[in-house]
Amino acid sequence: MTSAKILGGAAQAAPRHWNVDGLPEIEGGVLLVLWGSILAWHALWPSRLSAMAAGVLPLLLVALLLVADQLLLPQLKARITYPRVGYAQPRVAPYRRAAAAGLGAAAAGMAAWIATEGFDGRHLPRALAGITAVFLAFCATRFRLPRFFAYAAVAVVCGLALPREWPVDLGIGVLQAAVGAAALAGGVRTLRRLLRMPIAEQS
Amino acid sequence: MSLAREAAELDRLIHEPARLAVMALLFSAEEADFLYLLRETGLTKGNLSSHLARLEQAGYVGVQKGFVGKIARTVCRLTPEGRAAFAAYRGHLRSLAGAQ
Repeated sequence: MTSAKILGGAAQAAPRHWNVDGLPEIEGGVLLVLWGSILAWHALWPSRLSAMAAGVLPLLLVALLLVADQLLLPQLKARITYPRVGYAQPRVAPYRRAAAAGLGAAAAGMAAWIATEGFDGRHLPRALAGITAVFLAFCATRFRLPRFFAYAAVAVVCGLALPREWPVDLGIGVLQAAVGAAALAGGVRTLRRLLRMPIAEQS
Repeated sequence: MSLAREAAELDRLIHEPARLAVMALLFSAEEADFLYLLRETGLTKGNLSSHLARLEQAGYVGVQKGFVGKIARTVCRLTPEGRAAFAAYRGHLRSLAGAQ
C-alpha cells in the first residue's frame, strides 16, 4: 500500500466508523419520520392541534436530537458497538470548503431555477429533494458509505414522484418521512448485522 | 535540494507502512482503542502492540489501559508532538509529490 493511499483511506476512517452501527441513521430516521408525519398530518387534516404540533415539533426535535446525541447515543455505542468493532472518537473536522461549495451550488441552482421558472412555492418540495439527495450522495462518497446512495435515490424518486398539485407542506412532509423511513430501515439492517458479530477481546 | 535528499528527511519512524497507518488513523480521531486500530490496519495483535510501543517510546502516541466493565480496553491518542510530527510528515510528502 502506498503512503498516499494509507493517508487518503485513514483520513475518513473515524467518521466512517461513527456510522458503522447504523445508530445515527436510526436516530435521524426516527426524527425525520416524526417531522414528516406531523407536517403531512397538518396538511391533510388541519386543526388547532396539528398546527400546534407542527409549530412546536421543530423545537422539540432539536431538543430530542441534543439529548440523543449527548446521552443516548454514546451509551448505546459503548454497550453495543465498541465491544464488537472498537472505539474511535472522530475529530470534528471543519468541512468549510465542502460546505461553501455545497451552499454555493444550491444557491446557484435555486437562482437558475427561479430565473427560468419564476418563483413558485410549489417547487419547494422538489428543490428540497434535490438538495437532500446531493447532501446524502456527498456523505456516501466522502465517508465511503454506499448505503447513503440508496437514501439519496429515495429522495430523488420522491422528488420526481410528488404531484405538483399537492400542497407544499404535504410534499415536504412526505419527502421527509420517506427519506427518514429509508434511513431508519438502513440503520436497523446495519445494526442487526453488527449484533451478529461476537464481542472481541482487546489486548 | 535534490529529491533523494528531501525524501531522506522524511521521519523514518512514521514512514514505516504499519506505523504510518496507525499514525494516520489516530490523526483523524481524537482517540481510538486497540480493537479499532487492529480492525482498520489488519495487523496482528503482536505486530500492532510492538508498533504502538515504538510510537509511545518516541512520544508520538499516548496509551492508556483500563477496563470497561470486565472488558480490558487500551485507548490510544496522538500526543501534541505526535500530531505535529505527522502534520510535518504529511506536508513533506505533499511537497515531494508536488515536486514531481
